[in-house]
Amino acid sequence: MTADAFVAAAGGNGDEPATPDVYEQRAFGFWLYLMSDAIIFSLLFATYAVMARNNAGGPTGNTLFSLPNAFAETMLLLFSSITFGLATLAMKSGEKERMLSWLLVTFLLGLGFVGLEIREFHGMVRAGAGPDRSGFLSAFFTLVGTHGLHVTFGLIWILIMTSQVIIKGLTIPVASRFLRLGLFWHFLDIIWIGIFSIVYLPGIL
Amino acid sequence: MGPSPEDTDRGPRSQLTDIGRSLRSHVTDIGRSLGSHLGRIGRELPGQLERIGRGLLVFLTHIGRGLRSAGVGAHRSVRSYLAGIDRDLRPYLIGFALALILTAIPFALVATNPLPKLTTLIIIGVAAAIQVLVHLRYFLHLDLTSTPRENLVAIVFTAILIFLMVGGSFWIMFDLHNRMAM
Repeated sequence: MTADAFVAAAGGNGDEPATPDVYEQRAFGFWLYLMSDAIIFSLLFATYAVMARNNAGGPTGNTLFSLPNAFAETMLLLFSSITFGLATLAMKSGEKERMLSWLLVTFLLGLGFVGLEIREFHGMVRAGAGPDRSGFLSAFFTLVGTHGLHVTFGLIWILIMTSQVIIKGLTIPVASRFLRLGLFWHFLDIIWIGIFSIVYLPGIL
Repeated sequence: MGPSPEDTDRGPRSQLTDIGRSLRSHVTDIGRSLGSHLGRIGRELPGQLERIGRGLLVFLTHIGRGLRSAGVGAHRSVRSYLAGIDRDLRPYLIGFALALILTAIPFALVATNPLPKLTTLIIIGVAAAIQVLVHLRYFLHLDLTSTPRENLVAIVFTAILIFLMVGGSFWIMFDLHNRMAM
């Protein structure tokens, strides 16, 4: 299949109305992407679990991790999940302003999360506990950093969706993209459950 | 004398100014609409946050009251409260309340440290597993009947892959670790 034929089959450039089938297929494709992402994360988790004790005489999680910081990050992501859900409900009832306001709150919560994480990483690197210090820290920065990057891309996606809703309105393609962003955002919160349960809590304990 | 450079340039240049002018008007349009949207969002936000906060508070007190009085009556009080709120909002609120509880338990255990280490680790693991299911059910709306079959197949296949790869890695690495320690 040529690229053009593929674009035509997938419903033009994405702005022409396509059949509901196309959007269902896209949701399934996105679901497959999420599952492959889940495999990446589970292997990063496995790597971390294997490396967690290899601190090469350097600092351990007990001295590096802060329980209040991890708790604040957890709350920010959890609240951003429900505010995203509220944006989804507002979209389903066609209330554009309410949807945008919840999207804005979600963005700010996500931004707060990324901010806390950058501050934590910065403090660790400055204290001589960067990813090059030990196997434990390499695995830590890879796992938590990959999640943080995902959240950052989610924030960019939220901005793009916001501008699309403002400029294009609540069209079917925009709604379809928005629902896939929702899958992505809730998925990231699930990964975070694993991070605080496997990295932070056992590390501090 | 041929056409002066200005004459030949006028075409593209006037086109450029046209583009510039239309770009500018587009940008001001977008800016203006963004401004009015943001203004409205700012005006509506506090009220909405307050409404949600109040709803959550009522929900949590209902749960608290229900837990205290226990039994069928409690169940009915949560039920009747849930029946009163918007049908679509319900799963999000239930999921949110459950996630809050399942997050608070492990964090509180680690903060106060009242139990032996192994017990705490097991509780952390169980709470995390339940919370993942809560998120899948109430936030991702995963459902054994309404979710498309191929999505469920994909998630089961992924679970098998994860089990094989993570379980296999642990088996090999920890076995190696034990042999090296001998």
